Amino acid sequence: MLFNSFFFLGFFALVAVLHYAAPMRWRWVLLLVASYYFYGSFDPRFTLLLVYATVVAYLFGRLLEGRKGTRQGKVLLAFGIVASLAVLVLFKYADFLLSSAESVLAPISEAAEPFTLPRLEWILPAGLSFFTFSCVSYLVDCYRGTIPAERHLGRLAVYVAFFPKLIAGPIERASTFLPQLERGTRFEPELVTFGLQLLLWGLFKKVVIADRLAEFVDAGFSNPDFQSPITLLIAVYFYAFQIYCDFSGYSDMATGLSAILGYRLMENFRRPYLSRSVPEFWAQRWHISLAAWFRDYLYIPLGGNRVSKQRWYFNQMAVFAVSGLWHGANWTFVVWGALNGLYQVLYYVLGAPRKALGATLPSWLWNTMGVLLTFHLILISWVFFRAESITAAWKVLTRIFSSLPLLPMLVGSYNWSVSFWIAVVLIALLLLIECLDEMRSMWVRLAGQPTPVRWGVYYALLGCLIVIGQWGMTEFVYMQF
Amino acid sequence: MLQITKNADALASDVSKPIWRRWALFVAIGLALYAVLYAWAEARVYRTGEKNRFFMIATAEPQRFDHVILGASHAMPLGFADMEERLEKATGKSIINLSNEGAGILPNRLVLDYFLRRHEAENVIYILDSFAFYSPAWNEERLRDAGLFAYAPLDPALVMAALSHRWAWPVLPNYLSGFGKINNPDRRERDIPEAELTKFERAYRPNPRIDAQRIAYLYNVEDRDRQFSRYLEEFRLLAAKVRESGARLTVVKPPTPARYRDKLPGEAEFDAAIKPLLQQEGISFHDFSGSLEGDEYYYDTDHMNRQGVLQFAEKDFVPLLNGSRD
Repeated sequence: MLFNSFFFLGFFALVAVLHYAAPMRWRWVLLLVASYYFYGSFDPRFTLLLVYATVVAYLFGRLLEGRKGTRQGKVLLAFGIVASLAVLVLFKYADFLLSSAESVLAPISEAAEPFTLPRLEWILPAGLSFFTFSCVSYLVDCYRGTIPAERHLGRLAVYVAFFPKLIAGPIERASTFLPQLERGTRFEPELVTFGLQLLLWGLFKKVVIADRLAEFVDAGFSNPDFQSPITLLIAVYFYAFQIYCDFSGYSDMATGLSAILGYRLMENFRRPYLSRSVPEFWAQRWHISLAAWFRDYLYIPLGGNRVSKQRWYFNQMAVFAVSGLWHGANWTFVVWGALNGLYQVLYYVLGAPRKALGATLPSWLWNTMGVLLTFHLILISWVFFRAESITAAWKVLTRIFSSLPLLPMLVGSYNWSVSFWIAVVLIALLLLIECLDEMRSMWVRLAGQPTPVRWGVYYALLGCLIVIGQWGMTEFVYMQF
Repeated sequence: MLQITKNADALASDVSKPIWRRWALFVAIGLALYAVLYAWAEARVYRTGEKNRFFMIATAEPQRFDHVILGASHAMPLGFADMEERLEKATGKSIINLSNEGAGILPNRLVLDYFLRRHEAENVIYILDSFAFYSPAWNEERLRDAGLFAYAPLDPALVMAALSHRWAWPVLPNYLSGFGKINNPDRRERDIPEAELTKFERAYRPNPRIDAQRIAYLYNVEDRDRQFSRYLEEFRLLAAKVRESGARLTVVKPPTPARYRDKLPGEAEFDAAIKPLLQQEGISFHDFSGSLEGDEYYYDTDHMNRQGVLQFAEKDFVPLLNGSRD
């Protein structure tokens, strides 16, 4: 059951009505049942993973409470984290580790037969990395004493499985979510209206923009050897917007759906392609909940920036390499992470000349250059993120770069379809909205408009969804993580 | 979260107290605008509709057709380009081809039921494909494809046809809401199958890998035995419907090249199962599967091109339609 399906929208409408109709003290039951039903719709067996994750978090959370800094606490925390991550490792990384081990061991094997290791070949359950990370953060917070361990198993189960955020985040912290569950939510028309706005905008980004761009991206990346450089170039540029609209669309929908139910989730995206530097992109604007998770539970424990410069650079590279692996069990993601880590390190290594150059240029020009450079650096890294293999990614990049002088000639041979121009107009519209939003929140601007203007905007978005939306039940990119 | 709170708070001044009344007004205006879109899409269907089977049934003058052709994509080339006119000319009989791409027994039952509510038939020719008996993908799931109704005019007869079959109920929300028509990405294009526009005149250069992919695509099903008995029963019901309408049913296995036909999984078992049923029901059966062997007769792995249809028509199909083959 996907957010971008009519079945889900009907399901959610029913849940929302029942939620507000149910007595406050029993709403967690409804949310739990709805969340398990939602997750079970992908494969009922996977709900057992939710049960496992919840029970581990509950038991270790209770055991860890009040043991901050103690040897016993550290051991328990290690066990709790290992128990939580075990499922992730088994489902997501076992085959990757086995195949990597196979490549390492094959040359030194002396057996006559080709050296092979068995594979599990288990299907990766949707959203596993997301709810596992939620559980790990809960355990660490319990250990640190940031939050008390949750006594109510049902509420903790809702925190782990809350269906709007279950499949692709945001990776919400227990410290902000559990108190809302405990307090209960009342019907707030402003929050519900805002939730509906976010839901509409998220659907628009996913169904109207991302899924339209997918057609061009798939065409380029499916067989890069046989595609023209212009097809590849378009695929690369469009992928940057496809993944943004797909993932931020999901996050907007998740936040909107939660808001309709009265729960506030954290903001996960903040106009990332307007970042003036790679550190700004990752720390403040893209997948903020994951960046914050890595900051709090990996980067700072590694020493953060309160270490020697070399160690600091190492910490940054390590965080990005792990972040790459978190996204997928494939070397393409490791390269993607390492590349972004490298950008980050270079940004700081080149700090002095960068500042000197910045001082000589007008700020608007410097900022524009920063935005364009950051966008293109991220764009190159996305190629590794999207490609089937490192070889394929390298092929895409080399074919584009080696054909740059020929591009004006190749332009004539490309099929400039109506769908392409619609895609370009949609991207331009998105960028315009993001630029305006950067200056002043679009929602605040919209709220200040008279009703006909506001409603006109809603009807226009709805009209686009209905007339040009791609309702082909396409999965969200981040669901696979 | 702070941002969300701020944004929601910004609305507080805007959202006035009678919220339900405002929301009701918003929905009412939205529905009115949707009705306008619906009318626009419906009008477009009449401008661009052509080969959609529901469109053909809805817009043809009520009449008694001599031959109604049902089936999946193997039957479609018999109606491509000028083929139907040629067949009508060669036989002197009226023909309507209602076959649909990937259509198993259930989509054909719905099409036939709808057809019989508006027209009559002397003969129904069912072009048989074994894959259609093995998977819901070509039956229930195929019916859920919004594209199937992208050019289907709103017609109470089709609503009644869908209502009379429980398995067809899921098509109603899409059809009645007109969503498939409003959201049709090809709304500017002529309603003609892509194969007819781009492939029909071509000849296929065989590629074993593509043949294997095609067969895997068509026959990929887990519990084929259970599905087979279910769809066989549906086929029996289709035959009963034809009989009840006073028409005569003829079942035809279409020509396919040996390189493709010989690789079909369980084809001999399928024949062994279907033949006694047809005999029992008194339905005549013609196996033309080996009628055209050369690759020059096909535009892809298994579909007849112009040359193939002309050859097949002359050799087998026209005599069949003329009643000289029984």
